[in-house]
Amino acid sequence: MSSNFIGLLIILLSVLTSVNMIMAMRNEPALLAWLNQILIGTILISLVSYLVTAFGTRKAGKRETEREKEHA
Amino acid sequence: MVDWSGVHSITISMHEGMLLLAFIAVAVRFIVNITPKIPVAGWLFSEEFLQKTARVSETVAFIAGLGGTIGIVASAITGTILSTPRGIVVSNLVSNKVMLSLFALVFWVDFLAIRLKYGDERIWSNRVLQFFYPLTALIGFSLVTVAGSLGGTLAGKESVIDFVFTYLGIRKNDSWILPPITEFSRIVVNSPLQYLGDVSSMLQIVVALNIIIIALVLIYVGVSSKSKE
Repeated sequence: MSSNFIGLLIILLSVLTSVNMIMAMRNEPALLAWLNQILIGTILISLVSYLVTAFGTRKAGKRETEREKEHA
Repeated sequence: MVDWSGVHSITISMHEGMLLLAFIAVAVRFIVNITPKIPVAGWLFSEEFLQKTARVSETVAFIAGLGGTIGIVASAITGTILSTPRGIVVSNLVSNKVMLSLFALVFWVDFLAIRLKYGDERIWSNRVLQFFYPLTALIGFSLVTVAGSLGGTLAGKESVIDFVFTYLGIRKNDSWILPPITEFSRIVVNSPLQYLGDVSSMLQIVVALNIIIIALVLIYVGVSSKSKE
């Protein structure tokens, strides 16, 4: 995984944990559920997008390297 | 005195218009990309026409997508001025609208990130990205449309896509938060965390911890990108 994506994931997870802590202390389950849905959704969308693009481009990269080897 | 509801309507119209343009441009680029694979298309469109259309539609998609994404943020700011953070969760309709707008923002940021990271040539020659890139625009635009429909209902008007909600049996006034997430949040709130102590001092600690984590992440990203160079 690229360092940029790991960084984004750590920030999102830390925000998720903090929001859960704060809302638990303030005793607001409705607001917490709403915020959790947004944060968990964002994490999942980012993760799926990262995995699809990373695997998609890795396969293409391999194919290009193989083609280059054949040419050589 | 500024009429913020008017300003909010203007920012919404602007970002929806720009995102529609971005979506149409991406759709055109996608069609141009698959046209050479269709046998009949060879004598319908010249190679030069396809190349020109591809170049223009790609540029339009990126610029309109960028403008639309900035527009969503502007709409969020004007919308927050109209309401309060507490007002968002009081009404299910408003909370659903804000939630969908935020998800749409994530998809459009993703759209721009893919474009900036891989570039035009690499996206449209890649087997996966040539489908995934327009798909992010399609989902992002669909979410913006549904959020716009909820906004129309909120303003007391009918929406053009109301028949879709009726057909699918979705009620706009219901909470769209998934039951497992609601249950998880209820467990967290009922946990011993609520007895941790003074909210304001804990809030300061949590914010400070977040700032430290973000700083560490930025240092880590900076160091690892330098070591790659």
